[in-house]
Amino acid sequence: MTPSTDPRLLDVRRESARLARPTGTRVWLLLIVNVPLSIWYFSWLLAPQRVGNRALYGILVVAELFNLVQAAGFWWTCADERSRRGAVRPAYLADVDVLVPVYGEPVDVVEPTIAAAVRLRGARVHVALLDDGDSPQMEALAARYRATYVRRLSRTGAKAGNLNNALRLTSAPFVAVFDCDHVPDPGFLEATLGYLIADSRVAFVQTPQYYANAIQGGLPAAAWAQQALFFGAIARGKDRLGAMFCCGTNVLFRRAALERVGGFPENSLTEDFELSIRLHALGWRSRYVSEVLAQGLGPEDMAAYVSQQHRWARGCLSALPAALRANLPWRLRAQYVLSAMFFLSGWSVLIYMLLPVVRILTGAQPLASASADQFLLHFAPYFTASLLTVVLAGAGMYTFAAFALTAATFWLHIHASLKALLRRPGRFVVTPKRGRAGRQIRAVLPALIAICVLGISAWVGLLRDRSPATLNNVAFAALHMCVLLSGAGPALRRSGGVAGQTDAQQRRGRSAA
Amino acid sequence: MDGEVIIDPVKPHPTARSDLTAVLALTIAGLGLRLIVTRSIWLDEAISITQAQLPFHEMMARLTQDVHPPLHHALLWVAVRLLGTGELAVRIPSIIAGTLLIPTLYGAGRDLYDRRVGLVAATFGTVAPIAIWYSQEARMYSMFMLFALIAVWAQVRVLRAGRPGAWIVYSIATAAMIWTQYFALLQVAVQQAAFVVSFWRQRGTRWRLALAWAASILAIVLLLIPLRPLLEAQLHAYVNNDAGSALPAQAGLGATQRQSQLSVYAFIANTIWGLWGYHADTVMAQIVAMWPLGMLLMLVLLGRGYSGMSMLLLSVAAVPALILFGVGEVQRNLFELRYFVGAVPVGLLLMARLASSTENPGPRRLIVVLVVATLAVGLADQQLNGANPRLYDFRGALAGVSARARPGDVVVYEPQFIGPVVDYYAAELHAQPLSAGLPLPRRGQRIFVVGSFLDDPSSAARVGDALHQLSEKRRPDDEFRRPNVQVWVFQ
Repeated sequence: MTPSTDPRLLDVRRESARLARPTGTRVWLLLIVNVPLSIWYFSWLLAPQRVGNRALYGILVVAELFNLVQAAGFWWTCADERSRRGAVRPAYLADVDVLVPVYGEPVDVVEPTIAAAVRLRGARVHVALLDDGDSPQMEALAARYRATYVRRLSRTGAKAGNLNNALRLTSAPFVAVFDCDHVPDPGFLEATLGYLIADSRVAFVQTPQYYANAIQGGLPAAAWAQQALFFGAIARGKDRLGAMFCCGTNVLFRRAALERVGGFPENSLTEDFELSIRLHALGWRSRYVSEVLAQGLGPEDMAAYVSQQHRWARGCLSALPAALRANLPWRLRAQYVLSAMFFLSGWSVLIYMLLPVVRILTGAQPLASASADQFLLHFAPYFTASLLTVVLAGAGMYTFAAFALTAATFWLHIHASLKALLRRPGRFVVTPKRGRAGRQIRAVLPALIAICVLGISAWVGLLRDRSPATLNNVAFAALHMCVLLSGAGPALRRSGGVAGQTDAQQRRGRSAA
Repeated sequence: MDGEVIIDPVKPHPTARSDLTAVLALTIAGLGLRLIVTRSIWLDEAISITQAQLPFHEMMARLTQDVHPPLHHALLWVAVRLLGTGELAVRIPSIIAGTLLIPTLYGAGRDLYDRRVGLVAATFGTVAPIAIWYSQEARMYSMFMLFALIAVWAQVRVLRAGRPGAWIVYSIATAAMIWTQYFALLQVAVQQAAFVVSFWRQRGTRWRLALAWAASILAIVLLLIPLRPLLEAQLHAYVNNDAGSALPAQAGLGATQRQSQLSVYAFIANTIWGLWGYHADTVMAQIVAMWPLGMLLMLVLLGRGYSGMSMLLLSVAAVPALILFGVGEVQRNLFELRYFVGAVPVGLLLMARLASSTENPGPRRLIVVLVVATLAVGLADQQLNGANPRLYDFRGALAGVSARARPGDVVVYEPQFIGPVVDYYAAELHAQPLSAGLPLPRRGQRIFVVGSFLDDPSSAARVGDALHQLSEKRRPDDEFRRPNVQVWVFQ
């Protein structure tokens, strides 16, 4: 990656403005519609006469109620928001330690980050490159930019251990953390430091985790679209509720707060999530600035995406007991539970896929004495209004590709939740920063199996009869197949990763600048 | 240079001339499709034709008992005077409006989006089954579609630039729409709401907009004032006579409604009709059952962006239908595609926009070709499949009767309201409604029983009773059926 082709160095003002666009009023107005429509649908669904096959009805209701809880949490979070943009001028020129943990990443990925970190404005900056990879090239890189090079002898605690080690070696009252692929904007500290100086109860200021390689399209774009929904309306809403949690990078901490909780938790896969719970439990506050102040690289291929999402799912679900036990106000506790519960949504996808298959192959169906048109009459308005809320809350940034990607990796949530339930130990795996060439069938194998099962069921159904009831279930199967196939698509195409980035993509990146 | 292939990377942009050629070709093709495979005169057409043969003032007096505004009737009156009462002659106003819809779709698509959308929209309009269906009907729906599209197009131009010309076109198209079909008021309401939103959003020039808007409303009101006496008379007649209740129910909903009540399936069926035409009940039930694919479409649209203009078009297409669906819960016969058929060209425009929005030319062409193919299949099935519940072949049935009938024979028909069609096709025959009773037996006389709308239990019972009586006294001689019309002959 050369400076001329590195998407992290492009102008991102337009995307930043889009991300920060207020949407709370629209979501609030839609809430007026969403609530009665949800009541209407669920009062119909939960009526005793709807029970068909008891087992199928039971799991359908569980899936629908889970989705309702998620949707209600989303509406509650996004219905009002706090939008912080622009610099809050600090009262004095403070010292800030800028920590960049590294573990085997290529030098050309890390160099722009270090180069940008030493140019941060608004404070006396002390950059430290924390190398767990024991790389002479990294040492040379640090020397080139006059950054401190830190190498550990024992590499316990993964990224958290690396950061804790650096905390012991540094002393500035404020600590910024950037993943090694996240290039900070020169104005990062000008936009964030003021909040920590103005209010001594604030422990950290989080900013968006932007994927600059989204301009390439494909998987990075879909992954960014997922991130955009979170770092847009959801994060602004969490900020309003005082529940914004740390996301591990592009964040500025108060050292005193970190020291108060004993640094970053080293026994968690999502040290940032658990750290936030501990800080909030002790009464510390958090802030969120909805402005893109650092540009990173999203997962380039399906294996990287699966690895990242699996770690997040395992970490957040494992942190669920901690969130429930912690001494938190109910609003914060609910927000943590909602965030962790998102990683159970793969179960509902599995249930929705199973229902048409079971109906076609066995004739059993969850709903009785209800014609399909009655179901549609009650479900369609609820579904449409919910989808519209996502569209408006996401300012149009949430895409079908993002939705399909989540659906196609449903099995991750199932796998992660079972592992978390069985308390099997997890291993911190660094998300690869470079895409690999070739197809990655293994990363989407469960989705491909699901597509085959759905396809065979649909075929069997069509061979058996063409009644409207069968066609309705065949159409459901086709819907799931299209979504899964679209989500799994990036893994089935022969991509060259960053190395194979086409000239056209690079040109598009430059023209976007 | 041997073996070297030189490719000129700069292709000349298609010119306005090539667009003109393409639109002209599409318009001619559309006209051809509207002229071939015509169907029999329908009940409402026959009533209109009967009215149009009266002196103008008498026709207007007769219209006071009708429920429609008079613009189409006036044009039909002229057409009858100039061209006669042949099937093609009475349908000329509709054919012209339906054919003009094709270049209008191109112009609107090109102006509102880009030339690609314009060409795709015109292509869709060329083969759109419903556009063709109502171009072949001597009623007002084809004109309604044309004026509805022009009104929306002009409004978008107004909101973009606010030029006087666009305001004038908008006002005239809106008034013409109401002079054509009263249900157009629903679209007018949506469009006026769009002006309110635009006024609310505008900052600097909002008072300029308000002035022009007020002038436009005034112009529309002035253009509608001559309509007032007729409207008042029709309203009075409707309230006192419960007009419309004797009309046949909407055909083709049998498989999608429950116990004659509106269901959400009826809404989907009307949407499918609007885009892919009328089809057999069994086919509609199968298509409607595949509504989960609509969910897929909604999901696919996530993140594709939405402009204020597309939102306006979507509102114009959807809100009148949704309002009438709500009204239909109370007054069943008011929820019918004909009454919101103005949504069809707007829907075609949106469909063209959607089909053209993929950047990659290969998939884009494939999508357009697939959509055109589905429209063409829908058109063929609508026009040619006798199982289409909207195909009533009175022409074929009565031609069969005329061919067999001898002087002195009698035609009895049921239900009574098909009388104008019987008069249109078999004026030379001695025909009477079954409700007037069966003729007394006379030697050598044959009786032709023409039954239609036999899915209606009361009509079916009356015909069954008559056949039973006739079979007791006479010998069945022949029986033949045409789509939705059946004829029994008794010696």
